[in-house]
Amino acid sequence: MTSDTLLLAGIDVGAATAKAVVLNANKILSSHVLPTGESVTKAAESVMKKTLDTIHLSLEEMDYVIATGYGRRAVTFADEVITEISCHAKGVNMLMPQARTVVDIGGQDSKVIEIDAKGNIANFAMNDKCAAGTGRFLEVMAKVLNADIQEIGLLSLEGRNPCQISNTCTVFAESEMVALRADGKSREDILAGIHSAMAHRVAIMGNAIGFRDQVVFTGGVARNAGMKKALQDRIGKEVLVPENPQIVGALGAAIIARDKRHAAMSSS
Amino acid sequence: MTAYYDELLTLCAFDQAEIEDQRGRIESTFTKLGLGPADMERAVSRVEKSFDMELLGVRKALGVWLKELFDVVLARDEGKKLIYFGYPPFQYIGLVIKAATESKGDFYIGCPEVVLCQTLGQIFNKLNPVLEEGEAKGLAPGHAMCSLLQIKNGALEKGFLPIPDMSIATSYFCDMGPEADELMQYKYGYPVQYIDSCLDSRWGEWPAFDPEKVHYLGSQVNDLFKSLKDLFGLEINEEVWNNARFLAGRLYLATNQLNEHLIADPVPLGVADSELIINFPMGCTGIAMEEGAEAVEILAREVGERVEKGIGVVPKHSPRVAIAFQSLIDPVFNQMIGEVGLAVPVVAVLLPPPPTPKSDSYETLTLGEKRAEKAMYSGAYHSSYGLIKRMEESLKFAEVDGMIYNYQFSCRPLACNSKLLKLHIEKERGLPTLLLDMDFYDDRNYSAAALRTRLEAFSEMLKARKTAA
Repeated sequence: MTSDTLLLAGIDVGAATAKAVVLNANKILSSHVLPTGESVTKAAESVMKKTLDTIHLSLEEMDYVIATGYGRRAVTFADEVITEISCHAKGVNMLMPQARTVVDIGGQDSKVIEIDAKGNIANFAMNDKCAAGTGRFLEVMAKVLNADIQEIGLLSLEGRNPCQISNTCTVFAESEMVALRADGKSREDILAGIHSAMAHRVAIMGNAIGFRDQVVFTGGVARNAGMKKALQDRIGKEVLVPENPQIVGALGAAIIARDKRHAAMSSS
Repeated sequence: MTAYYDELLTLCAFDQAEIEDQRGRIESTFTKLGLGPADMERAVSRVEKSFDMELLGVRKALGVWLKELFDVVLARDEGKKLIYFGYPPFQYIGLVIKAATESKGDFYIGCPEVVLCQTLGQIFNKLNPVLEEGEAKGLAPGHAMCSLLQIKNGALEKGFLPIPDMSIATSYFCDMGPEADELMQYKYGYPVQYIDSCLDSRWGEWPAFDPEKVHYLGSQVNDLFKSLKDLFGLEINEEVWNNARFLAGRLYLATNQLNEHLIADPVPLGVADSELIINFPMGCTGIAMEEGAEAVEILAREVGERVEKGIGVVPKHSPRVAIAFQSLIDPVFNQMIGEVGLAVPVVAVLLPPPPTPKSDSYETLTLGEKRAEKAMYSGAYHSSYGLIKRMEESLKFAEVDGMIYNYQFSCRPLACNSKLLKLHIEKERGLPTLLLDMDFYDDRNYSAAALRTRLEAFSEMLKARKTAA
């Protein structure tokens, strides 16, 4: 077997969604995203199966599997676990080699990662104390405003007079939403304010390590065009989003799996 | 005859004769603290899971903490006078007072909230009711009060700790401790002695200091000496202060031996285990000085044997980090550092204290001022800069690849220096520094799973750097 024929799987089980990627050399053969739901282990199995079924492969045919994400340790079929911080760094490095800063906003936490030209971590900051600055914050706000989570980003871009949101604590912000609606503010303006407040939180966290060009935005929340714009406005720099930002962690896991197998084969 | 606590105590290196001899004291303590058979069972499994119980030194260290617990809980019943000091203690003040008590009757001198952390927290995982009581009775959550103070307040309220005859407040380091002491003074009427100082100094000033600071802090220390004389007839002089050094001498010698073994690769001891000995000189003046020292001596010997055989708790060539500060209550967190593949080659970044120079005017100073001058040179009570420089020195000794700084939730003295330390160590020494939002005394204030991701990522980053180099 040569290293070019290796089949590698990366699986990223997050708080909100589970993602899987199958990689061969530099080519993504297949990828899928599913909601995590109740069981982390089951979600991992389902998303892996779906990803493999599409290309008519089985788990046994994978040469190495790396799990990442908040549920990484519950992925029973993985050969190894690596944190999502390292995986996002590697994934972004393959898709956008010029990237030096990764902003990853997921369902449960957000991270700003400084990376080098090889996709290694140089520094990172992570918000994990509360829901402020995470996808969960947006979910709660969308629910309060009776809006679809998929639409809130675009709606926020239509806000002409963004509301000032003072609270980035999810619980307090929820009551602030109610007060703003009672004041007759439009949904668009409130959403514009929410996106701006959240971008502000992420910018404060990231300022501790700096936003070196290029800045790449990953994770489920990167699909939200309003958040991309709010981030750009806050940090005063262009923010790039890969085509499928949700699978970057799983892709990075597969890349690390590939590199590890390569290293093992060349040393033996 | 065996009782529900025998298994735990035997695990913690009590011998059977000792248990038989102490049954009355042991049972009184556990009854006062509401610790029953189910708690002992849980403690046995927690201790077995969390600590390196193959090492007799570790088992003995756990036992010493339990003995310190018996001593403080029963101190009043046993007719002792009680003097509590705050954490971190000023210039080993507890040992100095201890040295002065010889032939002056029976005293308990210590920092009981630290003893509770290491026992009710580390061993029994039953601190939450104490913290909640402390919160309910004056030190509400969200009021920027350190959880260590909530523990002291809660334990006094619950009757776990006897009301002391005097308490020494931590005003030389922290402004919350003295505020909490004022509240407890109001509630319980015991005298509080403040040792006021001022941590404000310019960045880069240390080891220089304004002589006025020494004068002020020194006069506060002299006030304490006067109170000790007035209240208890205790005389503190140069000779007593020198004797205090001998009380802890054996402990420091053993700690130095252990430190010398820890710098080996692979590192032979985990953080949960080395944490057990850090607070012997910081929280205790009694049994820990002899039996604690013995435990450290045994540990140093056992760890030395591991080094000779090349045995480590993490693989050889693992990234090496220094840690400020370990959890006093959560061995699961402390253990996690090794689990993510990080080696910690130094017991504590500020232990033992360094030899300090003397100013030209040293001989003309009062005793209190001399101690104040030492405190200035030792850095920690000088400024953030002083503390950071001290930590930087221990990094040289340990040859590390990075540093972890656990920021104590709701701690004002440590609030700014975590960030300053990261900036300074990364810039001056080129060592990556990880800041963690921790609480050394209250595990309700963090999620261990979330901290694990940061630690793992830090470990992955350091490993990648080592490979690249």
